Amino acid sequence: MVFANWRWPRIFLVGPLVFLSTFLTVCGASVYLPAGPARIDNVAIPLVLFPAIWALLFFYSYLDSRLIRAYTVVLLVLGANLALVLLHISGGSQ
Amino acid sequence: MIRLQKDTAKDLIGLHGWMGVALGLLLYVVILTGTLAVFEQELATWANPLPEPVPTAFPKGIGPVLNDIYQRNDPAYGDEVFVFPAADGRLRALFHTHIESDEGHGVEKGVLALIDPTTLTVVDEREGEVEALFHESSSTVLTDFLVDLHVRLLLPGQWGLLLTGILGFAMLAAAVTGFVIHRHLFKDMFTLRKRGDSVLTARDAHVVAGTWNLPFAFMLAFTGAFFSFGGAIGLPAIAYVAFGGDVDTVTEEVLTPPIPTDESPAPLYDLEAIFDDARQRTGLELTGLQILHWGRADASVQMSMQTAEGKLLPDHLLYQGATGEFLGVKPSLGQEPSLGGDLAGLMSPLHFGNFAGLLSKIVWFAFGFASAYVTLSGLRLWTARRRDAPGWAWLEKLTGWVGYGLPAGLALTAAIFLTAGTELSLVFFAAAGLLALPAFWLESDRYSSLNRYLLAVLLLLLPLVRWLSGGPLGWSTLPGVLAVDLVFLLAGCGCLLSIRRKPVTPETLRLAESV
Amino acid sequence: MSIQAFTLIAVAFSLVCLLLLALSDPKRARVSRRAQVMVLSAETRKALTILSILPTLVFVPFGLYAPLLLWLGSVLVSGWLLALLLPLFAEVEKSMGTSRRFSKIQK
Repeated sequence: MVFANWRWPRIFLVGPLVFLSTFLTVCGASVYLPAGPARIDNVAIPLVLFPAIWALLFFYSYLDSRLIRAYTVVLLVLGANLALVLLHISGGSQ
Repeated sequence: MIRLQKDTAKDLIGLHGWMGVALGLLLYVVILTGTLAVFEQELATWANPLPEPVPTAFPKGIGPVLNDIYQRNDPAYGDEVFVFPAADGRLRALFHTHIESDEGHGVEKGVLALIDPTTLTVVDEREGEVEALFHESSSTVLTDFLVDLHVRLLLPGQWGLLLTGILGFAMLAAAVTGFVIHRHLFKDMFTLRKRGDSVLTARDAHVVAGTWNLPFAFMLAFTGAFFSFGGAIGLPAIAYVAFGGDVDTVTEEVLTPPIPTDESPAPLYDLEAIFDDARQRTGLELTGLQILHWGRADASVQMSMQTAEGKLLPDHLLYQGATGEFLGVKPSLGQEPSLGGDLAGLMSPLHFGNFAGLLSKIVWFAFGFASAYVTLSGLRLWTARRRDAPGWAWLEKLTGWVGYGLPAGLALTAAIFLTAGTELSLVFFAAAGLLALPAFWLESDRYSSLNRYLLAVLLLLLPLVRWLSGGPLGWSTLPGVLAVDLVFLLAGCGCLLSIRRKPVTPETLRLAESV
Repeated sequence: MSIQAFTLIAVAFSLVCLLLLALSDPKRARVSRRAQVMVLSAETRKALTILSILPTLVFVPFGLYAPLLLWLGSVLVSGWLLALLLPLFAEVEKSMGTSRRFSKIQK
């Protein structure tokens, strides 16, 4: 049972942390996705996929019996995308 | 059948239940109001009908009316012009420009006109800041309120969108877990024990409605979460990252028609001729109009047309404003066809179900109704099982209050609005408070029954209230209005009949949920 | 034939398949403690299930996504209504039941 131990750390993971991670993932996706012919693909596609990415991260982090591993995966996703976004905004990727 | 490990199944059942308990009631409010909002146009027309039905959104002769509005106002407002039908069929024409306010931030200022399309007369015209104009001048107050309750739960600013976005995620999770935890999903599609025959009726009804509704519940939750989060935080943040901070400039560059900038003055081409050309090219009627830079040589006229039979997305036709030259068919979003534009464009018809007239609306309404039923029956199963446990009785009463009190409260709000025309939020909260009072001395079953009786009576009274408050009565002039009356009467009768039938006892619910 | 007419025919076709599936549903008969109105083999029921989604083979290749959604929505709503309405005809079904009776009743 995922809530047998560590109830609040699990809730913190599947709630705010997964949401933040999803948010940064879609922001990050806008950096590496091609803009396409109408120059909107890199904005529209991540936006449409927002609920799907959330669902994926949510169910994974809820169901993984090893809490530390779940935290590691979600934090890795979060960290990688945060770095990508910060680099892009500060002009590092240009 | 999906086979899960025992622990995983238990975790998912727990998630399904707790998600429902934590957010179910708010989700029910969003689903029920969204279900009613499928018929926003019909309800808006019912509440405030024009003297006769409107055959097309943009009738012939509307061009000169728009031209008159432009001529008598500040020409700067011709910068951006949007004309679109309100839900009740009246046309709204917004002429506006972007200026800097005294405090130094950008605001939209302009003129909002309300046009009666049957007589081609301007019935209301106001000048000011755009956001305020839409609040001050609305012919669709009742449905605006309904939509606001659905989209924002009446919360201010972005908070409402954030909350409904979270509720969309909750619905998504409930749909996925409901699908995964039900081991005999397809085997049980028709398994519904006759009422009174079995203790499993209540649970069966929840599962059967949930099963048939699953694909659409998933889709509505997905698109709903997209709209709420997309509008509240997603789009601004993604656009900021994608465009390196310069959102306004790039957005304008990406979304405005590709006509070279030429600020020299030039009159707009005959609008009626442009409209006729668009009708001729597509064989369809206009549903929306956007004119940029009216009065300049680089003016553009873009029209959205009705959705063609068999299609999900409407076409948009672009014309050079000064010469009337046809520039091409545009996609819903962006200047070129693109995957991102198509995907984002698809969200609207998938969420609103308005792509095939009344037929698709009826189907979407049915799924909304089923979703509301699944949410409410799930909550009833949960609360009945824990009736004797300390601390849960309040949730049972709360479920009765929101479950039946919300539609009753909405009907009461509509009735009071039709007779007195007062501020809707106040009326709604007063009605909700009033309906909550009996919960303090009635036990929960009696309280739920009382709310259901009230709902039935109010539904039966609504047509009478509408007529007594001066609404039309003749079938020949406004069949749509009387059709809505008829639906209210039928819904009221249905509600009464459902109360008269043998009720599902709490013992039944408790047994059913424990199986 | 117009797209709308074809969609309606496709809905009617799938609905007939659903009705046959419901009437021959062994679990439905078992839980309501009566004989089946119609007994079909598992293979026939599988074939009926496949037949009920056959219209997708017309909608998808021709890119008729709006009619596809309309068809899917109508069929799912009708399926739900069918599941709700059939118990009301339990007495009729009882009198029409075949000789094949179930002795085991699932609790």
